[in-house]
Amino acid sequence: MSVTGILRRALIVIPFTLLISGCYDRLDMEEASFSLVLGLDRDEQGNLIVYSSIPTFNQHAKKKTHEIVVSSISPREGRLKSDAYSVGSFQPRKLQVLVVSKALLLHKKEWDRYLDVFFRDGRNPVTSRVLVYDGKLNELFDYHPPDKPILPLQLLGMLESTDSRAETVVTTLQQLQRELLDKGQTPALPQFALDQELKLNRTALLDRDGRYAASLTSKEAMLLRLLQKNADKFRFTIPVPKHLVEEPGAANVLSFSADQTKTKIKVSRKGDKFRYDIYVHMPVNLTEILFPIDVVVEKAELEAACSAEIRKQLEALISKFQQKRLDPVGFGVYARAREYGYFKQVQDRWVDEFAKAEFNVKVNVVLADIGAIE
Amino acid sequence: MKKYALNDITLLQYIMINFGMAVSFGFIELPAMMATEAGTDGWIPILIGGFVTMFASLVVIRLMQRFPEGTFFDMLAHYLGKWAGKTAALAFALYFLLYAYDGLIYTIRLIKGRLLPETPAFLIALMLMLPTYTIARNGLRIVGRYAEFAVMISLWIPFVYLYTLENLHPLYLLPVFKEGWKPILSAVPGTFFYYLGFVSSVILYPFLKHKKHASAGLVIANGITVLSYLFITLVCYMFLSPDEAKLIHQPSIYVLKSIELSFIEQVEGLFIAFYAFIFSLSWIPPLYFTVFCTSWMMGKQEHRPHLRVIVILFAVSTYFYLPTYDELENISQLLGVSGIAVEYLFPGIMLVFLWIYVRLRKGRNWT
Repeated sequence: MSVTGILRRALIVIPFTLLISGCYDRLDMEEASFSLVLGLDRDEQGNLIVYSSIPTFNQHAKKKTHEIVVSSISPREGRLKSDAYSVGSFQPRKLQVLVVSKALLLHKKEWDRYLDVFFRDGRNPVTSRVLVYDGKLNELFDYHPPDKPILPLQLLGMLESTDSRAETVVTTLQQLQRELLDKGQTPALPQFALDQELKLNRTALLDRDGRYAASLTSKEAMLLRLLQKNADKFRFTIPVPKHLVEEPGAANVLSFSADQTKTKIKVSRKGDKFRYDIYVHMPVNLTEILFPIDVVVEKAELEAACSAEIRKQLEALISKFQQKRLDPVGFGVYARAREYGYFKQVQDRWVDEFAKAEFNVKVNVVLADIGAIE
Repeated sequence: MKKYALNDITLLQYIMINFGMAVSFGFIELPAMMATEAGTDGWIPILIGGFVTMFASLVVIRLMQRFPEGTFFDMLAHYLGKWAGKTAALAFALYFLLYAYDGLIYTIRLIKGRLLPETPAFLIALMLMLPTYTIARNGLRIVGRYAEFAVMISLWIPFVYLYTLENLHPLYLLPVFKEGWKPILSAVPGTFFYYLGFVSSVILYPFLKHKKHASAGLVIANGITVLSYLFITLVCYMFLSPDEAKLIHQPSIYVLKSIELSFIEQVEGLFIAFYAFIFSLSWIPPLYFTVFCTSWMMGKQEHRPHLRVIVILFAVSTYFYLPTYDELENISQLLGVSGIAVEYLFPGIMLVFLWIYVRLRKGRNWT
C-alpha cells in the first residue's frame, strides 16, 4: 500500500475513533458515591425509609462514611432522593450489604417487591448479602465506633467469621429470590442486633409469604446448616448424661469439632403423610472435656451419648420448624424430587403438609480423635 | 467448472460457521423459553429438536450432492432455467437478511440493556458494523476463518460456569418427565428456531474442500450446538428453583451474576462483551450469504458494493428505528416461521421434486 493510501485511510479512521466513544455513562471513581450498605426500614406510619452508607475518600473529611436517610415510596425513588444529598453521583452498583429491619419484615406486606429493582435493572448487583437487623435502623447507621472499620466492613467481617463456624446462613439477594420463589422451601437470613456492640448471633426465618416468623440461635443455625448440607465443619459443646460423670459436682459438658459431616435425607410417603429418614454421619475430634472420664474405655458410651444428644437437638429443631410452619431446610425440594405427583397437589400449602410429616433421625457420632491428653 | 475453488473453506471452518450461526443467542434465550414450556424437563425437547435438525441438515446435504460443483442456485438454473435460480436466490437473500437483522438487533438490545444503557443504539450498531464490513468484504474464506477464531476464543465460557457449581441443586431436575411427554413434545417446535442456519450449506457446499465430509461436518456442528444448549439449560435449571426459571429472562447471564471473583466485578459484563464474538456469527455469515445471493442474482462476481449498501442501511436504520423487545420478538417469530419453511421443509421438497423432475425428463427423452 502506498503512503497516500495509508494517509487516506487514516483520514477516514481517525475522525471515526474520535466520534465513536461508546461509554456515554462513564463514571470516574472520584465522582461517584458508592452506596455500600443499603438499609430498608419503616416508620410508624408504615412508610419506607431508605438508609445508605457511603464511604468518603476525601482526605479532608473527618468521618469515613456519609450516611443518607430518605423517606420514599420505593428503593429506586430513594436512590434519586439520595442523589440530592450525596457529594458525587449516587451509585448502588457496588452494594455489599442490604440490611432489612425486622419491623419491615414483620409489618410490611409484600416487602419483597422492594427487591425487584435489583433483578429488573440488569446492572444492579445480586450478590449483595441480605441481613436482618433487630431494631431501628437509625441506631445502626449512627453507630460509628472509633475502634472499628466502616459499617460495610464490620458487617461483612462479622458475617464471614460467623459463617466460617456455620453459626448462621449466608444469603445473597439471588439466593433469597430463589428461596422466596421455591414452593418447597422458606427463606432464612442472618440476623444481628446492636447491643453496645454489633453482634450476629441469630438467624431469622421467613415464612412462605416472606414475612418474619421466628429466629434461630447460633446452635440451631449450625444444625440447620447441617441439614441443608451446605457446611461440613461444626463446633459443638453439648451436655452428656449424668451417669457418665463419675465425679459429683463436675460439669457434664464436652466439646468437639466435626469435619466431613455427611447428611443423608430420604423421603417416602404413606397416604397423605410424608416420612423423612435423616441419617447424619459425624466423625468428631474431642477438644474439651469438663469431667474425668477414661475416653478409651468408655468410647462406645461416649459416642452413643453424643449421638443421642445431637439427635435430640435435631428433632427439637425440626419440630420447631413444623410448629412454626417453616421449612428453611427445603424438605419440600426432596418431596418434589421423589413424590412429584402428590407434591404438586399440595405445593401451595406445602408448609402445612410439612407440619404433618414424620421424621426419623439417626445420628452416628464416631470418635475419630480424642485429643492430645488422656 | 470449479468456479468456487478459489475461495474454498476447510471442514473446521464449515463446522464453526454452522455452529456459530445456530448457537448465537439461543445460548442466552433457550433455557428460559424451554422452562416456560416444559419446566425443568426443558432439556429433553432440545435433545429431540437436535435430532430432527440433524436429519433435516442431512437432507440439505443430499440435495446438494446432486450438483456438487455449484450452489443451489446454480443447480436450479441448470435444471429449471435461469429464472428459477434467480427467484430462489432472491428468496434466500431475503431470508438471510432477516436472519442477520434479527441477530444484530438482538445483540444491540442486549448490549444496550446490560452494558451500555445510555449509549445510543446507532453507535453500537456502527461499532458492530465496521468490523462486520471488514470481515465480510473479503469473501467466504475470511468469514470462515473469523468463525473459527470467534469460537476458539470463546472456549472459556463453559469453564466460567464452573464457578457456579456450589450454587447448583441437582434435586431441582428430578423427577424427569414431571408432566409426562405432552409438554415436552409440544415444546420441540420451539427449539427449531435456535437451530436455524444449517441451510447455509446450499451456498457453502461447493466451497467445501472435502465434500465427502460435509454430512459429518454438519452432524458435528449440530452436535456441538446440542451439547452447548444441554449444558446451559441443565446449569440454569439446577441454579434456579423450578418456578423461578420461568420468571428470569436470560438465565445464562443471571447465573453468571452469582460469581464473585476478587479481581473482577460483574463477570456477566465481561461475558456479554466477549460473547459479542459469538453473537456476531449470527449476522456476519448471513450478511455475506445475502450479498452472495444478490450478486449471484445480478450475475456479478463482486459482492462488495451490495455489502456496503446493506451495512450502511443497517447502521443508519438503527438511528431512526430500533425495534422494542416485543417487536424484536415478532421479528424472531417471523424468522422462526420462515426458517422452518426454508430450512426444514424446503430442501426436502426440493429433493423429492428434483428426483421426480429428472425421472420425468429422462422418460420423455427416451420416448
